[in-house]
Amino acid sequence: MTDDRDVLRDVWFGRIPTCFTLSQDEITEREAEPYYLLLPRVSYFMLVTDKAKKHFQKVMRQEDVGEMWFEYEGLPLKWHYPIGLLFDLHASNTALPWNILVHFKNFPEKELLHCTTKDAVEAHFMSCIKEADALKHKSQVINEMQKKDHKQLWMGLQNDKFDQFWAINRKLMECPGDEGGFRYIPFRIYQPLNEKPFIQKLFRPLSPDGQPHSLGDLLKEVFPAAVPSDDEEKPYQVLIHGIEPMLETPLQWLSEHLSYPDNFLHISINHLSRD
Amino acid sequence: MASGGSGSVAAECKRNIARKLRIRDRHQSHRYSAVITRYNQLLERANVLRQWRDVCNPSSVPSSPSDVSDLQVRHQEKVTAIHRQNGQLAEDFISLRKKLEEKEPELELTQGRMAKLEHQREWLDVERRKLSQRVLTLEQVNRSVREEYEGLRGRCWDWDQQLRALEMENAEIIRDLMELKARAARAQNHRIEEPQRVQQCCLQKDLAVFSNTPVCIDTDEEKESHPPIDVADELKMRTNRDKLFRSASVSLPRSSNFLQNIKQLFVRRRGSSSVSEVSDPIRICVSATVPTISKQCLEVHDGEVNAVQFSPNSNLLATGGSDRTIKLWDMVRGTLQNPKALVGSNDGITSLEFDPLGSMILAGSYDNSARLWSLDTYELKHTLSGHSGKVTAAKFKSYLRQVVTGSYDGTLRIWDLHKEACVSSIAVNSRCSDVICSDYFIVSGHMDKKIRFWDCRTQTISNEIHLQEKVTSLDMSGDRTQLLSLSRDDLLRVMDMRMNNVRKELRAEGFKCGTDWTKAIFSPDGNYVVSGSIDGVLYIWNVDTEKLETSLVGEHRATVNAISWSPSGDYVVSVDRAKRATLWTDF
Repeated sequence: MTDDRDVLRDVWFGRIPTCFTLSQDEITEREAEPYYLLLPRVSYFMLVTDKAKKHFQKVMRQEDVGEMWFEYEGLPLKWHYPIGLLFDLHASNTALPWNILVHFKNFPEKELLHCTTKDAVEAHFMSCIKEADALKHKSQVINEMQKKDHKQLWMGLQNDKFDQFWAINRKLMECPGDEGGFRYIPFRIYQPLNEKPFIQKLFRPLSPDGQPHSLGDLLKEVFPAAVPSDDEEKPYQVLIHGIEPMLETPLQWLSEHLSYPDNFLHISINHLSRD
Repeated sequence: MASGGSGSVAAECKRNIARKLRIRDRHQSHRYSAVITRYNQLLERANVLRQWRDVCNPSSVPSSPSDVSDLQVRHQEKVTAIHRQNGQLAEDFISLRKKLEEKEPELELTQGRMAKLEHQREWLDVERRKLSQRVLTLEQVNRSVREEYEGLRGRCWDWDQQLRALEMENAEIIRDLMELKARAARAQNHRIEEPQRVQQCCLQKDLAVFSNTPVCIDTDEEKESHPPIDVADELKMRTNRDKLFRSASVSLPRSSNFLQNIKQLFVRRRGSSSVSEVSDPIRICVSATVPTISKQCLEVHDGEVNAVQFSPNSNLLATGGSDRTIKLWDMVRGTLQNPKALVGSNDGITSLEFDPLGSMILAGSYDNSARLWSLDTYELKHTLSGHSGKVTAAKFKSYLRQVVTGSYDGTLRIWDLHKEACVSSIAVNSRCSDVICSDYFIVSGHMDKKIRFWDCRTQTISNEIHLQEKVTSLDMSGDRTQLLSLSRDDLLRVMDMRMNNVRKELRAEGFKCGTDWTKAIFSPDGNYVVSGSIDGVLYIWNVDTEKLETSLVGEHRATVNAISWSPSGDYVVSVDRAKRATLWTDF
């Protein structure tokens, strides 16, 4: 079990070296140096980019500063996806550090939602947790919690407090009695450059005959193309938290340990280019 | 087996994941963390340095020779400006110094003056201390003098008591003496007449003899002989009376000599020449103090309070009200205490008077009578009834044997206390509001706006004074030379008793006489007069200046009916229509 705990810690403390660069479009009083940060994978952009924002505002005139948004290789980054997912989806195979352009104007209204305060992030985060618990426990666990427990979850994430977060999150990850798993596994499968945002289906952790489902079983069910046949070279890369877990890994265990703080298993499936 | 296999597979998977996570971290974060931290530090330091540079060198660093020359010019300008400023400052400095030098002597002068003033202040301080010390000693002296005065007053009172007793005794003796003299005179007359009588007898006999001689008209002669005898008798009687009178008048000078001697004794002692003064109560108030504050205010009667009077030694106060009682209050440490009620009147009290010894109190009443209480036993001693209207004033006449009353029935009556009967009645045909009396005269105030002066012996009007309005009150000053009247025209008049005319008229703004029986009085030293107004304010006038001395606003909420000034001169008590009495004093 100590190994499991280490896995939780590694997942929580996963970092991505990022280089923020001010967009050329922005008008500055002097040259803006790039700003480097190690971004926590499990967090959201809005929670961890205050320093970068301050850094860039120093060189800009006050009236030019609008709502900040990020772009990677021409692609606006959605603030409501965890950072780790965004990286896996868009930049997993590029050279580090992750180069992100910072914008303060020309907000891409069509692609991004506005996010003026952290309250919006909190609302999104809590709604994800509630949805996940609805799948896992018919919302029983989350509904039995008090308001302050909800707050503790959010504050744990916001302040990067592993113990604080997991003291509450532990209850959400417990399986009821002898059923050996959740009702359904909360998961979302993402693909870069896809019209649909993600795939989400009802999938039980155990097969009808009581055998535990593995990651491979899930992919077979919802994204068969990702499972390589025996002789073929694998066409897709299945990434969770920047790693490719073995397809035999039990899905229940994965959900318990490799879920993001919003209790979802965000799986990124990237097409491997041949060259 | 299958489950064991799957278990091992699961464990393998977990291990695999853990390993991959570690590899990921090694590749992604560990490799960069140090670099990024360092970079951020450097960035921060660069920022700090930039700020420093901005602070130290706000203007952009000159880069061309023209800039340098510009800078030089600018610096040169600055230097000249500073030089100019320097010169200005030097000038200022010099002028200021000059001013300072000018001020120096002034300062010295001021200091000198200050020193002088300081000196003067010290001197004055010393003087002040000396004076305050003197005030202290004077106060002490004053206190001791006052104590002495009190003692003397006490002794004076005692002496006065003795004097009165002696006077009474003296009067008795004189009366007895007169009687004896009269008897002696009668006896002597009788004796003197004896030979005459004998002679007459002889004459009568002779006459009888002569008359008997004619025989013809014997019986008629006898009858007619009586009237001549009667005539003779009458003649004889008259001569007798003449002799009696003469002998009495002859004997008088001797007794009056004796009287005179005694009187002169008192006259010398008291420095007064008035004969009537002898019967006066002690009037030893040197100077009355004008009260300034209300010291005590209480409800004394259940209803209107009509009369108030201090006892001759000022230690007792009597109040009379429409609740039919007289209340006697002890004056203890300047306050009224321990009221005692005298009952017996069948209706409200109108006036009060103490006898000069303070052993009796006389009260007039609405029930048409006057009553006398003894203050030794608090018992009703006499009831003087006979008036057919309310008795408005009852006053002691001389030697306590007689009382004079005035009434609404339009008569004045003189009562003898020994006989407990009315000895004479004077009909005026006008309601009497107040009466004062002395041995030889009575003064009465009336509703027909007249003040009448009566001769006691003849019981005729000796003088009349017409006023503009009804007379409500009369009072006489302690030395019996001035008469004070109050009338409904809100005027107080001070009259000279010797001239029988109005000398002074006193009035005041706001003063208004409230009722037909509102009283005004003299202060015991005769220097002030005081009366109460309809609105409960006391007005005190100075008789000499004829000006209002002060007006006192106290807790009276109704017309002030009567006022009494203590014979010691320290206290004034006023009573009003709404149950209250107020004690005024000046400390």
